[in-house]
Amino acid sequence: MLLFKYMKINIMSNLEYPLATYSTLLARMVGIILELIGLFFLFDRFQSLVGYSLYEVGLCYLIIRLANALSICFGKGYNSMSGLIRKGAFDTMLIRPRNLVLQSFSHALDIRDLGVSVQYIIMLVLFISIYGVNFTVMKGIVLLLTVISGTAIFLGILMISAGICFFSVKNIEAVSVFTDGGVKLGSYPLTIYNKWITRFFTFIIPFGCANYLPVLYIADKIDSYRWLYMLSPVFGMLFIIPCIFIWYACAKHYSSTGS
Amino acid sequence: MIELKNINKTFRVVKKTSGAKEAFKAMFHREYKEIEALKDLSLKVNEGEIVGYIGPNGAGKSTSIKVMSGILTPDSGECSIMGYTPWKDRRRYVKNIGVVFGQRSQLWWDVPVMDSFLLLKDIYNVPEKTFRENVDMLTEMLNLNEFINQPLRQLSLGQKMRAEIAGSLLHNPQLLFLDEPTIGLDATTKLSVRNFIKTINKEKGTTIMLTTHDMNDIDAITDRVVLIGKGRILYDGSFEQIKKKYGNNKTLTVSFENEAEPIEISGAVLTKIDRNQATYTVDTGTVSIAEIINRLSEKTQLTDVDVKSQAIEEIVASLYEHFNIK
Repeated sequence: MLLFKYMKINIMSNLEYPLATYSTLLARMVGIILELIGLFFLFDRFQSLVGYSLYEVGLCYLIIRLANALSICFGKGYNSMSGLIRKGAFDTMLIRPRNLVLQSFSHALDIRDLGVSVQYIIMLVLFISIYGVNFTVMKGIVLLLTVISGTAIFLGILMISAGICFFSVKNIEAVSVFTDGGVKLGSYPLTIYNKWITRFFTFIIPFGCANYLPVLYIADKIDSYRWLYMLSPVFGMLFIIPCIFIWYACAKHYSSTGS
Repeated sequence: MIELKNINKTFRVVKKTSGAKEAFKAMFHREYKEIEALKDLSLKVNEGEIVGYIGPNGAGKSTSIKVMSGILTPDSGECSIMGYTPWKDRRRYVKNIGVVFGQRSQLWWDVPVMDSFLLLKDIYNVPEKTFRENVDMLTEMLNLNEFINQPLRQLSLGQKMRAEIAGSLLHNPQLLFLDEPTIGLDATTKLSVRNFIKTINKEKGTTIMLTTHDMNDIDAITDRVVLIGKGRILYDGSFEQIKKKYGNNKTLTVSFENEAEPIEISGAVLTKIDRNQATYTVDTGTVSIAEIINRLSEKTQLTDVDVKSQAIEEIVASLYEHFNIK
């Protein structure tokens, strides 16, 4: 598939600079491990967080971070849309007979971001194998859907932010309130916050679908309507659909720069 | 092949101001001005033609190339290229065109040229056989062999340009846009790029739109030029005609044996006089060179005569001046 070929050529580009690649990977791995240690110390003191156990909080934490890492990895083109526009790379995309959404996805994929995602995946698998109870195949599938759902939500936000670039040329930092904010808030079960925050991040930007809703199912906290909790990640994924349309509508407005 | 009808394109840009105070003001209130990049642009190009597209900086050359290659949507007007409207049928249309921007790279910076070509093959769905044939042909014609396995970033400007041109032709486009393909190239590379453009046009019948500031490119490659200035087409026709019309001035330098008084001759303007050398600018439209020399030799003993035509650049400069688009 063309997407993978684009990814391959980007990874080959990264490998031209091995020192930069390995050193960044190492630094980020240390960062991730420190974050987790911090979480463990927290629970060592308090045992539970507003009714949530370490297992549930850890799942929320790792899922949202993994989803964010994956979105940065695959949505690099959207993340750096202003650069693409200013350097004229978007012009090049327009003269290629391929879908623009696809071309932006795979643009400038960085092996270091991929590395971070892999590190979170390893952490998540380790975490579940140590703390997981009664983990079934069905739960595995829901977990996978949850990660995909979270990734789709972050990608959706990146796409809207990228869409705004067609008007402003420069990246709009304000949008990172939703990505960085999403990561920070979503690292813990959303119900621990004010109900308006919970509602906003469940029904407007559906981070809840990649957070406490499926996690409650995975952690066996749900007795009735279990299927609704199981399917919640799928609803979260739908978020990206309007975002794609918004991005397209903005791209229509495109006016190229320079000669 | 190409048919443009009354294309208009206006950009809205923020009015430029300088200074910190003005910049601070602009954070709250911005003034915009409209720039008419293209005005009622109409153009027709037939299949197999090479069109030299000239005009001063900011005339609208790049904008019109971008409209024709589907990058920009004009505000109004019609455009039909090979039966497609570029900005409406973008994906189906761009399969049939190649675009090279002399000022920016379209291949992948950090990977060997050949890997970029292989990805382009997949992007354009080029059949294996066609791809091999094209790579072989382009490698030979553009001498890519010496650097095809090197990353693009390590190449010289000339090598890069050759790689870019090859990359734009892998999918056998019927129409090729070359936006300043000879910019910054050394004399040898310029010559080989010019030859290549002519050959590809002749052998494959590729229609070519070429923009350039180097009038020698035009002189070497094509006779049809389209002059654009301030977003309008000012001239569309033969380059020879331009040279005839605006290239009448010749520079005549004569040397004579003895020191002489300045000799005034009607029809020629004396621009420089040394002890035994004089330089005249002659308008060959009013008086012939032979006549001037005749008259001069009547008055003094000539030892050397040198006649120079105006440089093409000067001709074009006076052309721009004529149209008031400098």
